[in-house]
Amino acid sequence: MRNVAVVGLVLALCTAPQAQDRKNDGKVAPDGVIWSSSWEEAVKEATARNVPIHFTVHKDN
Amino acid sequence: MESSTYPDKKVIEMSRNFVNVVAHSETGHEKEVIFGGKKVSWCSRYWGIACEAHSKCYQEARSKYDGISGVPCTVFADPSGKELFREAGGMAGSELVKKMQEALTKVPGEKVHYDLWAGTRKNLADGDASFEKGEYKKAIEAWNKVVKMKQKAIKELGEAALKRAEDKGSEMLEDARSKVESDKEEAKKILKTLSEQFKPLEVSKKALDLLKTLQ
Repeated sequence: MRNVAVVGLVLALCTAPQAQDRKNDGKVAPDGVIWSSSWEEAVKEATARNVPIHFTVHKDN
Repeated sequence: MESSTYPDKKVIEMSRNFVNVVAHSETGHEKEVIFGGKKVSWCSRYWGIACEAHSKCYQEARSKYDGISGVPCTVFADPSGKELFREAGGMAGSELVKKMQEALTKVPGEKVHYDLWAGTRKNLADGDASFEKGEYKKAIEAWNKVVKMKQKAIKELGEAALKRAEDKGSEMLEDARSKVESDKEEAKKILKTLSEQFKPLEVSKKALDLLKTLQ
């Protein structure tokens, strides 16, 4: 069971966005909220980190 | 919220304690930005993702929460995705921060901040890359940084990685043992690599002990 949990954590690490990928290079893009690329990745990462999910729904005006 | 709430520094800081998902079906907000010295196409409303990502999240997750009749709507969920509570309508940065604080209190146990998570990912990835190149010492050093973290979930990831090194070392040790009679010099070469590259793992000590008997 413990091994399954560790494998899950590893998978989450492999698929979640890299902080370095998102690091502002100071030229154009500002720093901001890091948004997940998919729901599946979000749940994996949240489970591994034991943090809540902040889910927000929007649409064009 | 896209133009005022999410760029709020306090919201950004607090968001690092969450996994954040935005569901927005429409696309076409992209603009080119320079990032890491390269041009990338990001959504102009949600930092760091393409419109395809927020549209995909809409398709995947919007239906998971019943009764969302208007937008914007913010749902806080536990790590498995089960709803904790929701807030309909727009929120100023200070309001969102308060709601985030409330959500954090509803998830018990030790939490891993995004910065720590990102650092862990980097150490594990560095270790993986070194391991694949046969640079075992570097790999073990990178993974050991993860093992030394106090957070149990993080520590276990490092331990799992080090187990790979221990297994690889054991395999090499067996190979060396099998060569002791037929090719002593090759066996010594493998044992030397093991004793130098696999410190502080147990297999390194075993290799050193065997190497001493051969010299």
